[in-house]
Amino acid sequence: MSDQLWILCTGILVAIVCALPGSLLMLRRQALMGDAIAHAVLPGIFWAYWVSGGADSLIFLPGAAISGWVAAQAIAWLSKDNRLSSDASTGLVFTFLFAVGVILISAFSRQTDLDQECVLFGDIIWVPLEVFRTEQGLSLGPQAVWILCITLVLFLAVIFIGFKGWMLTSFDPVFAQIAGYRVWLWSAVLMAMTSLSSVAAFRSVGAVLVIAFLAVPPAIAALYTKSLRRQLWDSCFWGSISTVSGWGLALYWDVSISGMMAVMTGVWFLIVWSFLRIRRWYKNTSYATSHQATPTS
Amino acid sequence: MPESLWIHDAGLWWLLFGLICIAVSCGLTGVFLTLKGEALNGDVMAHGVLPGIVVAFMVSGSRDLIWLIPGAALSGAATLWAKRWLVATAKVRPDSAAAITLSVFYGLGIVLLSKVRQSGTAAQAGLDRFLFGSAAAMLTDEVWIAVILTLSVVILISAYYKGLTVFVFDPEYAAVAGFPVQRLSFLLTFLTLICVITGVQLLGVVLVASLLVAPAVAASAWTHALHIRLILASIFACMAVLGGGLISASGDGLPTGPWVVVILSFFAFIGIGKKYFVRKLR
Repeated sequence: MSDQLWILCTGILVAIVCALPGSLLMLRRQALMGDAIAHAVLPGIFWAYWVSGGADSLIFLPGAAISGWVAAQAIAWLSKDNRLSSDASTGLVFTFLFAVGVILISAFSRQTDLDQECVLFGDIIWVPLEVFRTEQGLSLGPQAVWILCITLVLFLAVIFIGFKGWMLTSFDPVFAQIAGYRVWLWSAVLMAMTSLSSVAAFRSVGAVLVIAFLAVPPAIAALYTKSLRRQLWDSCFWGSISTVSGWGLALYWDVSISGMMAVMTGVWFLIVWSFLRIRRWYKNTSYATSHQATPTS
Repeated sequence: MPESLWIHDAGLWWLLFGLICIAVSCGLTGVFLTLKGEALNGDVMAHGVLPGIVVAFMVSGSRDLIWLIPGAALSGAATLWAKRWLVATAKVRPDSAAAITLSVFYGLGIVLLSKVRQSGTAAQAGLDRFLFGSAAAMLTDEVWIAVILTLSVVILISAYYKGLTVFVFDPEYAAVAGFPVQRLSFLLTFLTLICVITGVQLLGVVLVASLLVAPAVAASAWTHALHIRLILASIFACMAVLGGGLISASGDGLPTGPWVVVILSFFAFIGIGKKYFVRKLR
């Protein structure tokens, strides 16, 4: 498979892996938590690369994911127990962890084959070059694709098994609590999923652009969907469409692939929104003309 | 000691003065912004200034702040406008809207930056400092801009001090009491925009929100009086900016922004810890 196809494949996987927790976050009005976690996993990512030497970061995904979860707990603790407004505590925690991550990465950039640019926009073009090899030297495909695939399977399993719980705890946490669901546990799992997706997507799109994939495709789907199942499927669909179109345009204009993918999520949001708006306007006018009150004498 | 002792270096002092100005304006505005609970608007605008900076560079071909600042201001304002549009017209929840605008505008900035990098002009190297910030890259002329912007922030805050105070604590009362709430809300946004623009060269687009939030949080632990809080926040911000600048100047290639943020967070965490233990012991 050629390099460009691997890049495209990575992009689509990133979009899907981010859209699933992103949808659940959005339904719980925690989109900014996704933003904060995506920044805050940076020290964990550094640690994972440091320990593994950048060669095999698969085993350390859980470690890095825990750092995101800790950040989420810290934000919740600060805003609940210390009467800090939630955005102040978010702003405090994620900037601190992000800064620590950047300092570590810039200080040890030679040892870990990570650099500041990777943090800002990833290096998706290098993804096809870092492959798993068998002992005979046979290529098994890029590491990033493997990591993303494993994450995706895990997410699908978690969402599929706990579908009813996700629905209840997302739409009506009070009722879920009464019905015996441990709401805090579900939200802890969601935080772990969010950090896992940011970690898995890190190599491809960096720690900042991943927010676009967490936030925008779910918002596109939420413009018209009414059910959780549709919400999840459609956000994956819009995420994939954005990555494919972003990839194509980036090659055409010769610009940053990951950046273009993020921009396209916003463009598709506008397209879908205007389509819905025009359709509603069209329906209203056709309704009005066909049901015009006919004067009776 | 020879004449070249650093204390005699007027340029260095001038630079330090510029850093202090930036820190003071961000510290002051941050107190009001955090009290109003809109600190993340600063973050949204900070990510949003990136495309404006790059476009201004592409159009003007120079990396003087005098050209980049209008671009940054326009796109920062556009980002906030887009966020409000999403909430009001597209019926997106405010937190989602913030995440959407922040990431899409940042993505646009990255795309444009990658285009500029290909052309490989010598001046494009100067744009990288807006990503992670660099105190040392500030030029003498640019200090002037920082000083003027800081002065305007201080003047505006002192002119509207009473109104702003009432507005951030209790907007509804402010409206009933006849304060110009619309104008005050716009003023707070405007002040935030100025702070983001001046702070972004020092801390970079991702981290500049910290210079607004952390000093205010740290100061709020020590006093309830607003004027003392404003002074404390400015002092904390100054100490962090100077400390971060020193550390990044001492080693080669160390970015300024992250170090400033680490020092700021240190202050904030001390404040939070103090508040926490005072409450526990009581």
